[in-house]
Amino acid sequence: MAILLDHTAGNTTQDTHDSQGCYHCGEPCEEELIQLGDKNFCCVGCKTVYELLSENQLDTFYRLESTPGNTLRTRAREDYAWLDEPAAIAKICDYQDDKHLKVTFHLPQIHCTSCIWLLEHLYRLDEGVLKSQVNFLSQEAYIQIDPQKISLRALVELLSRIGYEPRLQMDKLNSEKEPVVDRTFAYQLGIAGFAFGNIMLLSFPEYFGLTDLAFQRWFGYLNILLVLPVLLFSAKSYWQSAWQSLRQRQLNIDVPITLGIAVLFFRSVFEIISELGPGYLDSLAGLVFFLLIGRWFQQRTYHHLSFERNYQSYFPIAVMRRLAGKWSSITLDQLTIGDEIKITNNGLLPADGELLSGEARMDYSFVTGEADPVRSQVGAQLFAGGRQTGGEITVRLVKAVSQSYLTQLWNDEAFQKTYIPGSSQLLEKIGKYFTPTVLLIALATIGYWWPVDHRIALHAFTAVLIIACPCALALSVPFTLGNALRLLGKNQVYIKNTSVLESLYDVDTIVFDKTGTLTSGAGKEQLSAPGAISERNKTIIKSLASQSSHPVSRLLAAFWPSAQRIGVTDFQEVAGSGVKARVEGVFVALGSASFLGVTAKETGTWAKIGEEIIGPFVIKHQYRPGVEEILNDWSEKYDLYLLSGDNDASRKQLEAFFPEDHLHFEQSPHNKLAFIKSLQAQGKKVLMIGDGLNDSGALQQSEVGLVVTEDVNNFTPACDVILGSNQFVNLRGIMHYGQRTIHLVYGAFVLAFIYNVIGLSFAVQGLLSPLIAAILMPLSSITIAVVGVLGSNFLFAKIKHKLRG
Amino acid sequence: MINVTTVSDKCHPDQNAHLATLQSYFEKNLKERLMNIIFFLIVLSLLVALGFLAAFFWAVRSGQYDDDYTPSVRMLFDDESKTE
Repeated sequence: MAILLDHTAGNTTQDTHDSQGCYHCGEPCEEELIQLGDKNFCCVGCKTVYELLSENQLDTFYRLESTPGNTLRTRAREDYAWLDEPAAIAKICDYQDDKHLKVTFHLPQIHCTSCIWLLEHLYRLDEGVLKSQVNFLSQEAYIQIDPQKISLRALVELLSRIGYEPRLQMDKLNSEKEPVVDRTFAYQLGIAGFAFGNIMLLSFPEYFGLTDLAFQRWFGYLNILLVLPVLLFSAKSYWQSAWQSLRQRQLNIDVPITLGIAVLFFRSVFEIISELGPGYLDSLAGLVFFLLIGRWFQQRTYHHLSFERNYQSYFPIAVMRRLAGKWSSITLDQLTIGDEIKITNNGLLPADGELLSGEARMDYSFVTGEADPVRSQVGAQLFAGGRQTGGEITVRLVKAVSQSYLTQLWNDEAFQKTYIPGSSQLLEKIGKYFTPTVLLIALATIGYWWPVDHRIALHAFTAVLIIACPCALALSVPFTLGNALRLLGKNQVYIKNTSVLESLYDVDTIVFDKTGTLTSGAGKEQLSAPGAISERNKTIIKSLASQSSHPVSRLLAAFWPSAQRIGVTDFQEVAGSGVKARVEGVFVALGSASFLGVTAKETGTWAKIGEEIIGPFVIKHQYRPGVEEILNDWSEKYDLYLLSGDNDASRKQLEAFFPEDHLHFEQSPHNKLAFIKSLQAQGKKVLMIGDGLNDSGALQQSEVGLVVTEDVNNFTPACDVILGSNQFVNLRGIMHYGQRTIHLVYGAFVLAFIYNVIGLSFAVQGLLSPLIAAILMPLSSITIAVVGVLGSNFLFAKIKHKLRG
Repeated sequence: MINVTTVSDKCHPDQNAHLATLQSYFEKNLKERLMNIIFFLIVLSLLVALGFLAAFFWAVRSGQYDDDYTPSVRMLFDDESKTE
């Protein structure tokens, strides 16, 4: 099948009886194989979870889905000591008193039915858990505990132990208590639907010409009563939007809509009270109802994604700080300049600081785009956002968390952009011409009829305003683009809202980041190794490498899947340098050239077996598949730029696709933001394609910011589009589809205009009866909705076979 | 309308007069009575509809529309005895 999606499915469909697959998580037992009865496990962690669950009669976990677990192999154990602090607890939990503590955790590992089942049966693992409820779509668990029996820290540790580590980042410290869900829209829609149905029912006698004065009056008054909440409550946002627009001396599409609604209402009330006719209240309620349905359709929320993340969602929530000679955990918001903090392997530095002890090997790839870790010695300045890869270091902070070199970026005005939900540039543009035209026709009509007959003149005038109400027009965008969003979302292309598709249509300049965007990001690194290595040496290197958790070691351990593993003795790890041990009596070491005591011609990791030197092993960032095609194709259609935080080692390679002066290397996050601004000053519409924190400013400033990510559950900076990395190859097709849907919207506009012209031809003659209005208005709305949905489906089906997964 | 003529053909002539008065009574009041019934039904139908609207509001307020996926999975879990 051509569809790509569902990375979650891959985890659950693996064969349980595969002798090499882990019974718990389903991953191949390459590095290790632990057997318990007839079951295989890939690591001690997975086995422990299995034992824990089966001891507590929670075997159902494995029956609901095969291999439902989350692997514990790659997980570093976190220290949750900071969760004992009452101040931290108060910030994390939703509610607490002596007997109850309520907390909502985001658990990105939730992926299957078994997950829901296990997390909702937590009380069997610990009697302190009073209640636990999972929201699968938002990957959240709402847990209530008895703090006398289980502490919050113990709960988090329990969750981590069974493979569901709560996502606790710095932003959790500022999150609101008991998040308030705004359900106003559901009420508005409910009321509009209720009123629409009942008014239609009460207007039925009218449609069939069963006019009886007594009926008419009673039904008329009932209808007025029913339509009032629609007018005042359901249509509230339209009134507000039209008023806003008028105050700014503009005419958006909501102006003619509310004008139509107002005229509909007053004319109907007048007709009913003066017993002239039944009025158009059914059309009014229907109109509002359809508009709200359109808005509902347009709202596409990806519960598990966030388009608004900043550095706070990336930083940890707590670090170890030295206070009066003792190390203790402290939450990030309490850190001050001068604090001494400790960062262990794989830890993130939360603020700029000075290295006090240890050797720093900071991986800044996510922050600056530099591919290789930076080594620095005691006394050196380190920057926030760097990830230590190596031994433990201590750092004295010289800047506050929010004032560090990187985090200052968020003080830029680019981050003050606001978005009005439901707004559409296309409709704004049309609204500018639409409203004056309608008013002109209405005035011409009254001017023509006034000398003939005052009554017909007023009748025709109001009829024009009613029938010209651009309901169908306003529905074309939500239904067409809303459905396009839905289809793309199913294929790991997550777009924030429909107006992004409109902006994408106008793009004429595309700016790329290099590391992590054009090249594959973290977790997908390739290792390049020297050619001829004997089977025995492979075995030895693999055995040694699998003892260490260093990134190169991990890659080496999985590098030769067929090689065996044998036991090592006297294992020793020298942080930041390498590992050494004895394998079958032979001295073996793995690490940097200086660690092995050899003079190396090339950088990289070397292996020493006895006296033999093998190497170098180098981590390579590879270009993503499809990069060449995309750049070739787009260089003809768009102005292409490259902004990389890395050095210009790859300049030669990239000059084939970019004009020479369009390649910019060693760009800081601030440079990138400024560059986008300078492009925009030239009148360019920019699409920025990036991945990391260093692109945050550029992503925010550009017309459309697109983020490529290996795993959509991971951190992504604030942007407009989140693209699963396996979809990068399909970028051209996605872009093409986006443009075609905008064409479709234009088509729907034409259709809506035709309906308007038909309606107007009745209206200007003073022939618009409530029945015609009651048929024409819903009919036009429904056709537009159907054309929008079917059309965007059809277009998607056409590009789908070209997509690769 | 109730057709009385077919009935009256088979009846005793004395009864015909009686039936005729009945018929006129029905016809005179039919419209009025129909009206009353329809008003009654309309009020009833509106009350029923308001009941459903209230039910909808209650469902929204109690959060039943906040998560429209997990409950569909949860209901398929087997009940197991909580005591071990």
